[in-house]
Amino acid sequence: MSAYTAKQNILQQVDGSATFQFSTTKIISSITGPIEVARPRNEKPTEAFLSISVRPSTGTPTTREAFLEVKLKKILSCMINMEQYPLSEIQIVVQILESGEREQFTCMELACAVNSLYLALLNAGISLKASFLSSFCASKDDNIIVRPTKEELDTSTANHLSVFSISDGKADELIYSDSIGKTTETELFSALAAISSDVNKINETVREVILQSVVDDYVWKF
Amino acid sequence: MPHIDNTLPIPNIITLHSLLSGNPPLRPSLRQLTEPRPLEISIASSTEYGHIEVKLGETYVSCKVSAQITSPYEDRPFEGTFAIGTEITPMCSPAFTSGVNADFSTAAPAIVPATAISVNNIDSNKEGQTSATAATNNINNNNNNNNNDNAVTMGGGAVMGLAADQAATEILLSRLIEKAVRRSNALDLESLCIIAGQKCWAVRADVRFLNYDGNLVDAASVAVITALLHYRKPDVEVIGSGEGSELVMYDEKQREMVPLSVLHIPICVTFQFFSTESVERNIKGENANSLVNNKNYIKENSDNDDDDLERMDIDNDAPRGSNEIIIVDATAEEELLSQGSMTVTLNSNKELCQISKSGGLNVDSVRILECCQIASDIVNKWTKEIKKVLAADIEKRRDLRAERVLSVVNDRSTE
Amino acid sequence: MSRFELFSPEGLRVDGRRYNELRAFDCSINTHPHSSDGSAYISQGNTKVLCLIRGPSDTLTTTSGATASSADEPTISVSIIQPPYATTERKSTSRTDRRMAELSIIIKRALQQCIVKKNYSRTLIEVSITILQLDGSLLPACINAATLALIDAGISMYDYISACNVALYDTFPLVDSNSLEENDLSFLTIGIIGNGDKINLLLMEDKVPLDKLQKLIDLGITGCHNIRQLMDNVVREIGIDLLSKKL
Repeated sequence: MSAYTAKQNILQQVDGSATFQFSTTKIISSITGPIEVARPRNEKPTEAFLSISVRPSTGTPTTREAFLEVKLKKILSCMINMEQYPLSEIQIVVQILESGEREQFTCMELACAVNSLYLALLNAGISLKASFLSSFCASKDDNIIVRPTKEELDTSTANHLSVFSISDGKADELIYSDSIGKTTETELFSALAAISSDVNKINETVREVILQSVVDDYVWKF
Repeated sequence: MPHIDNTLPIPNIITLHSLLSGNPPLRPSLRQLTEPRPLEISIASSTEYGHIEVKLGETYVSCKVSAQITSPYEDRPFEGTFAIGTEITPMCSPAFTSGVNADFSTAAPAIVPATAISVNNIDSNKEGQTSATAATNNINNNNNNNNNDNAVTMGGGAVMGLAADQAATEILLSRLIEKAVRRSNALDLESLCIIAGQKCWAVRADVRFLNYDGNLVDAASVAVITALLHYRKPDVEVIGSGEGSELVMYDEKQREMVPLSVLHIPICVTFQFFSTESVERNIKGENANSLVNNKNYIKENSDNDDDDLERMDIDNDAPRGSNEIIIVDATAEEELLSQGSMTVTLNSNKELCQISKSGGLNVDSVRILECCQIASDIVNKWTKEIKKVLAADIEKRRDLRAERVLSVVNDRSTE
Repeated sequence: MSRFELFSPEGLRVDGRRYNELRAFDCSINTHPHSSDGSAYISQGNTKVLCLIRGPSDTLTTTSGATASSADEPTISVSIIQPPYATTERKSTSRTDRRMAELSIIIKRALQQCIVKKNYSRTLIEVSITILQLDGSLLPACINAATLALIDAGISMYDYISACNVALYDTFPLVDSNSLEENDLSFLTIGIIGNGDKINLLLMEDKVPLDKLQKLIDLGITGCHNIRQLMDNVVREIGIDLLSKKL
């Protein structure tokens, strides 16, 4: 199982920013918003418009990054209180600093991106329906490896990623699930169970990170 | 119509005045005019090579170098390829929108002008008089109202400022980095050749602009060159020759990685220009009697160049107004208010690799040479900084590697 | 290195010029009176450039979406066309060529500084430059042509903006370089408004030792002044001609 680190409030020009790192995968996200919609045709009368751009660690954005953008949009649009920001835009940039996985996989980057976005959204003060965190696992010969390394991922038969909402410090509802590879129903359920218990663990650290940045930001100390 | 730049910091006019009218002129941060902010270079990853983060004050840039094996261009069979990616995302400042580059071809013919901010000069009376005398020499009959001439226009010349439109900023920025690093042959492309005409390395440096607080160019140039110096590519070997030759790539554990051959360390230094003068006075100088000189000059046949040279020399000796205020390493606020900028690229051998000053405030040639000297000092300082960081990292990695080798030996002995 | 002797010990250049000699400079203005408000043709040796100007016109008439008119200065748009026949190798340049885009931004910024901006608030000045033949000194030729075309269009300017290239051969600066010289030597482009020695435009792409810069700039300034004089002579001749017709 790979280690993880997180940090909030890194950039000054944007409203919210955070990094999240799962061993070799490192992502920085920034949130600006709610702001005026940059292109009038994107304006939605009843809810916010999410503009998400994912930038790869090397080279120019490809279909792979577009694929990640679509997935992130799905996850975020059900977690943000979209109705609270009508006619405005929330600008989201996800910069992959270190990819840490092969091109054919996206689970490490996606999980990392979701977690960093959660921290960045909190940092930006965007209203959320619930806290959410993500983790991933790989399955190989009926074994479930939570947060596999690059090599373990390469030799696995399937990988699973899911996002859970958090309530009372525990993984609550399944928000999003994504499995790639050959898998069975029982395997999927055990994978989900493994991920939800891992999310609980990540949540403990993440809460500390958030607490720390709240302490840092709190200027009216006695 | 919504303005893209609605999230820009509001330029502080008082800041500018403190800068312009002080004696000596002061910067809002009380930094010396020719003193750059502290440069912080850090290696982003302890395991991978070629990922560098650079902080120049609050400006935050990261650069990652990667290499792949491809086939070389047909017209250059003995050279590898090198590309630099410089895309500005809204991450570094919301004033930048993403995807401008994508529809760049359509945006190019219609270039949006820089937004200008007008500030009324403090001692307007004095300025008014001098510009009135200077206004005698006019080519086109511009019957200027002298009162209007007292206005100092800001922002029009900012090359890298947010005030300039993004498409232009992006093009100039990417061309600058390209000219500074690629065109000056900082990376030896011939050393990237593996099999002539068939296989070569394609090196790519991706610059990510994470936070904008002025002077993206200088930070980016330092990041790119440090990342190139730090990067190690895997060792390759060609086994056999002719048809049956094979290319073998060794990973980090098998053979030591090979550094890129970097020939020199070009570093950009950007200057911003300010002036209390009106545009009129800036162009004409105190040389209002030049019209008289000119008339004589026309009557003579300009065939004799040497004579012209002499005449010009005499002309140049006359004192001219050169009270431009020059600062290095501007912050976002200073960049926004600047009337012109110039980027100089130098290496520690005192070789100029690139100069770029397009438009903006007119600056005396003597001041430009001064700038180059200042830049040279900064480049020396930053080159030392880069070398120090890299040396420290090599030391650290050597220890790590020694540990690893030892542990492998230990594993073997226990087996 | 090159098989040509770019600068002989006798002090002659590849085309027989001295170090401080400009190439044959020829210019005419108002070449396209029907299709433009101002036009100029310029030839510096074998570099021949045509510049047409439309404007100042209302910004509202243009359909280009992004042009937000600025309250106190004109919108200047510069487009450069380099047809395949301009150089000896018939290579067509793509529309997205970054070098050309950079060039047009540089020209725009240089012109912005010499036009009396406040007279043209909320207007559009369109500058289109066609490179008919290219033999070095591209940017200077474009800028000089644009200056003359602006004068022809009657747009008020503070002064001429003149530009020239200076190449460096060993320790000798060579003014108004041609393409043979530019291929092998480092060169500097310098642009000056009026006849002062304040520099508006300074571009250099190749390596030059720092201590040689002064020489290059000095010769460049002289070159710019000479070019300004040549342009001024032509403009004044035409002016006198026009005046005599009126009377």
